[in-house]
Amino acid sequence: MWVTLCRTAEVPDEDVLEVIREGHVYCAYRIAGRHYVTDGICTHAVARLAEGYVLDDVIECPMHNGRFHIPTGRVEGPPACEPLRTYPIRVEGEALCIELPD
Amino acid sequence: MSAAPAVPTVRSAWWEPRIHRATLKGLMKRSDGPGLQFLAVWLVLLVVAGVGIHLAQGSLWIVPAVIAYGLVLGFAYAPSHECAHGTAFRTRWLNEAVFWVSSFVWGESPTHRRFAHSHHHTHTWHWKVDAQMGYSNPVRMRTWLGDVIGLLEFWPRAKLMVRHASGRILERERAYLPPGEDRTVVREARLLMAGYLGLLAWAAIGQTWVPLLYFFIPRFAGAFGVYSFITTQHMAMAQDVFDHRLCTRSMNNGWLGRVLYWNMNYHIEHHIYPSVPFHALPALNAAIRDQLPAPSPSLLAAHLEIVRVILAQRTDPKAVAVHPLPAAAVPGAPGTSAV
Repeated sequence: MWVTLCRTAEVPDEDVLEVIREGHVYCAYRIAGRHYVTDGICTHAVARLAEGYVLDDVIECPMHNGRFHIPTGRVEGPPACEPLRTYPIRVEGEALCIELPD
Repeated sequence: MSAAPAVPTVRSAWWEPRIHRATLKGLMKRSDGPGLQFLAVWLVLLVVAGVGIHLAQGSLWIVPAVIAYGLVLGFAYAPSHECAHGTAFRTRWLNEAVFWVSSFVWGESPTHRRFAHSHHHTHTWHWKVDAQMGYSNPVRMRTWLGDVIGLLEFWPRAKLMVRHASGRILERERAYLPPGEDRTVVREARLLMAGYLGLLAWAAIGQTWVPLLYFFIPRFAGAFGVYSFITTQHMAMAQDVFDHRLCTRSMNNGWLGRVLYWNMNYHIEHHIYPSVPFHALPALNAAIRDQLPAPSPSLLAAHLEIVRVILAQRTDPKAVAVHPLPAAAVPGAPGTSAV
């Protein structure tokens, strides 16, 4: 099931936008011109990743500095251990859409 | 879409200052330069003090020389702490390499240090929760003294390392060590122990004082230098509160103190935003100073305050250090956050 998450123009370059849809927190990114979407809550402790720091293609949690690779969600640095969920995306006109399980 | 609705997080309960999000993101920027500069100052001082030990051998000057060297050596704490956050350097391998070397000098498994410290940041100064809170209010005078000279830290840390090296992880440590990381902690403790034993073996087999004069003895003899800084971070402040301005102490230090301590005198600021690297803490302070209490004027002033509070706690166990907040900054208003 494809759903619209936000407008692509809202997503800052080389940075992150937090989007909350139906109570779920997502992070939308535009890195080197490409869009990505991950879960928005750190897998280590419950912290909002959008308050963190984007360095190249890595998002760092603001609370304990756990790091995740944005395109794949893999852990890049402790104390995070569990990977971050990523979502398939597509751009439809001005909309950034993600695929959710049916 | 919503800008910042009430999503409960580990930060939700904590007071946060008003700061423009773009300013905060700018302060989070990483760089290798400042860390290399601070590290270079530490290493140069270490070499100078080491030459002092070399020249003083055979005379009584060896005593102050070893203490002076140990004073500098103990500040391995600072790069180890900053590297535990991963904010010391932009280059990852540099961060991890310095983390390992400085943690060896400091005497704690890097992985344990990282997770226990993360826990400290989540539960700062909450008694029986915060993994790095070693004492509670009311504080005893001997606790202050023991903490300043490092005795309260060395013995438990030595026991911790031996226990980890023997493969034993306590249940309370599993509260902050994720599954699987316990094995890493055990492996690292064994590696560090092997290193320390290797140095001792070098001294014994090689019939040399070098490892003792340049590592073990000064590490104990000069520990009071860095511990006198660390003790000020939270001692005699309020506990079990969700406002870093009440449970944490910032202080003014001179240039050398700030460089050796990697700006951790801005300790309230560090706790509010641990993602801001050490070199940007003065700028963070400038951005939110109007919402913070005045820092203790100096290291000495911080200790005098601690002693005053300890004496006051003898008659009033609930007495704590009170640093008045600016009139416009109300405590306990969580989620003020970036704007």
